[in-house]
Amino acid sequence: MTQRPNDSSREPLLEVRNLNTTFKTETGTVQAVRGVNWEIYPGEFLGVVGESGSGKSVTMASIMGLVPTPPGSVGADSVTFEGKDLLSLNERQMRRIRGHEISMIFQDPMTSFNPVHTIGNQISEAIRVHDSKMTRRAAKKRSIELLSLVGVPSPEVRFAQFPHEYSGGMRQRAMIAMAIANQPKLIIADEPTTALDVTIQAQILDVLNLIQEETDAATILITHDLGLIAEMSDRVLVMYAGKVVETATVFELFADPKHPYTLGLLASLPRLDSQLDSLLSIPGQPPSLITPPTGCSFHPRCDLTKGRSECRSELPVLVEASNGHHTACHFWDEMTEIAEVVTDTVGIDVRSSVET
Amino acid sequence: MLRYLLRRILIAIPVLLGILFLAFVMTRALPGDPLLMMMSIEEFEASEEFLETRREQLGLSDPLPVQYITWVGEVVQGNLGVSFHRRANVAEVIAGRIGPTALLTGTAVFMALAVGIPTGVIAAIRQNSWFDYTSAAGSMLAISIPNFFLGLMAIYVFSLQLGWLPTGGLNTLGAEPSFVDSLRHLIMPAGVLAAVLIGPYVRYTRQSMLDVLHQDYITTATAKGVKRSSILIFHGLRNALVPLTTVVAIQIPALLAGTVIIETIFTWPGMGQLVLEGISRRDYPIIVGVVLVSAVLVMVFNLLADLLAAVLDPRIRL
Repeated sequence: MTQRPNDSSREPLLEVRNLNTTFKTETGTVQAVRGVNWEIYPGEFLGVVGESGSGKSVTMASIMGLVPTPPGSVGADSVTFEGKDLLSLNERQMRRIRGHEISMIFQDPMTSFNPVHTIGNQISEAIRVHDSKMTRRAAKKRSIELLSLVGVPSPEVRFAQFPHEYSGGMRQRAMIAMAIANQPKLIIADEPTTALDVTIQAQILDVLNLIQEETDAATILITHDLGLIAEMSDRVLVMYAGKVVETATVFELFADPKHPYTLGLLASLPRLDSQLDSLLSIPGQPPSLITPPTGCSFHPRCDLTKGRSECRSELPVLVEASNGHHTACHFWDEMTEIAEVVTDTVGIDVRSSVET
Repeated sequence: MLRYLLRRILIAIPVLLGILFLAFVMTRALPGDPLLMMMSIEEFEASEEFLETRREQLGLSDPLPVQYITWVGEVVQGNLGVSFHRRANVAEVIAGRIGPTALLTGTAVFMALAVGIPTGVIAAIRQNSWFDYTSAAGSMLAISIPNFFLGLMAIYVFSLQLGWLPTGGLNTLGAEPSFVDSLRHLIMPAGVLAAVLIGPYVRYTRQSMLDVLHQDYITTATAKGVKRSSILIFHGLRNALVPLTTVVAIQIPALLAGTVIIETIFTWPGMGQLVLEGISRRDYPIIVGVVLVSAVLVMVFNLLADLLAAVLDPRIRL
């Protein structure tokens, strides 16, 4: 843990081991995150994809200590960030990490700013809580620089404006400015474009790209948009029902998915290059996380299971299918077979057809 | 802003005219004759002609519509008339009474806010804790106990049994006026009046705070690394206070009504006591004068509350 060798770039920046997060509700305990393992390396752009309720956001909130307890409860073997186990830090130590070492960009820029304080004051606040020597004036100067960096026009004027005087896209830019204020080593962007118009989405992604080039911070992009993942990420984590089901480089994942859920996601993308009467969808519903299915949680919706009992009884673990490509499927080696079935249905091979 | 103020003042004119009309009709509808109320035993035995002359002098012999128009004409010029009983200018009588009432109600609101806001905030932070339940029960109790009963109990306990505080009045008669003496006289009536207000303040602060603490921007602030205490004040309470301004303003009429009882119990020489005396003596000019002044006060404070809310929340446009 204490080693800081020359090739520190190969040490994970953040390493999550067996993270579990549950919420007590009136109808039972929701197992939102169920024993996930993953890591992110310095400077890496990691995409996390999965449908709503797959545990993407809860995983990040758990790491940041943002899960309200109770009703929530977070446990893990370790969550190691630069040699420190985040879950064992006290509130004071954790505060120094939040917004300073790791910062977050939230989904809805409309509600993520306090409406009664100016944007400028809220960015300044982010700077000043981590630097007690920073004067009000210096923080203002820095905030204006940041607003300018993320492409907010006339930042001096914008500094003194309230959130309701900003458009959605501008607010998300300001949110990004706030997130990078202290040059964090890790930025977690939780569906940063979901609440925005498509045209604005592209601009925000450009800003995110620019920021990563400027700061070289590792970035986690949570999304349910595979297109975004393809465009932005180095590596991808696919989550389903509170578990990581597949992880690979973005090229590998799209070219050769090793989990039937990933293939299902690819097949259900709207396409311009194929004539279909309707969009394909993964049959069935996401499972209840109060009583998750036994064995593989995807088996009730899976084409690959073909009624085999392993899927129902045995919990698949992440195995390395090829170099750096992990999947949690008992029968991943039969993936080519069902990919061809999908190809026949769609009329085009959905694999690798997304530009990477 | 200026246009808004002007509009509010213009809206106030028909409201005041309506209040003038209602006050006039209602006082005249009261059973009893002011003339009989203000007569001595000797006058009682006087002739019918004497009564007629007095009635004439007071302007009570004219038909009601004529009385009303004459009176409104005077009020518009700032003349509230002369008290039947006190035989003094109503405006001057009220002016002498408004100070004590302002002191009493101002102190009561201040006390209620000073207790209610922190209690509400703590109840929200520790939702469903024993503190939360106790404060909820206490608030219900404070709302439910009639203030005349609470006032009498307070006098019994603190004045008669413990002997800590005087039973009433502004100052100790004959003593050198001092701040401490005034405070000792003020604290009990203001406290009893405050008890009625505290309940709603606690409940609204708690609710408002709970709403605010579940907002996304609280999570944002936490994720920025802001201290919990700063979040609660800078991002929590600051936002939660906006709806509270309305609650305080809405309660002002209830507060003024409360002074009628409290001032009577504690012999506090304010407007409440004055209006009660006016009613019992059928002193029409006093009743209507106090009603009018109260109406103006209520409207002014509602306007101030709206302005304050706009200052606290930049999204509110005037």
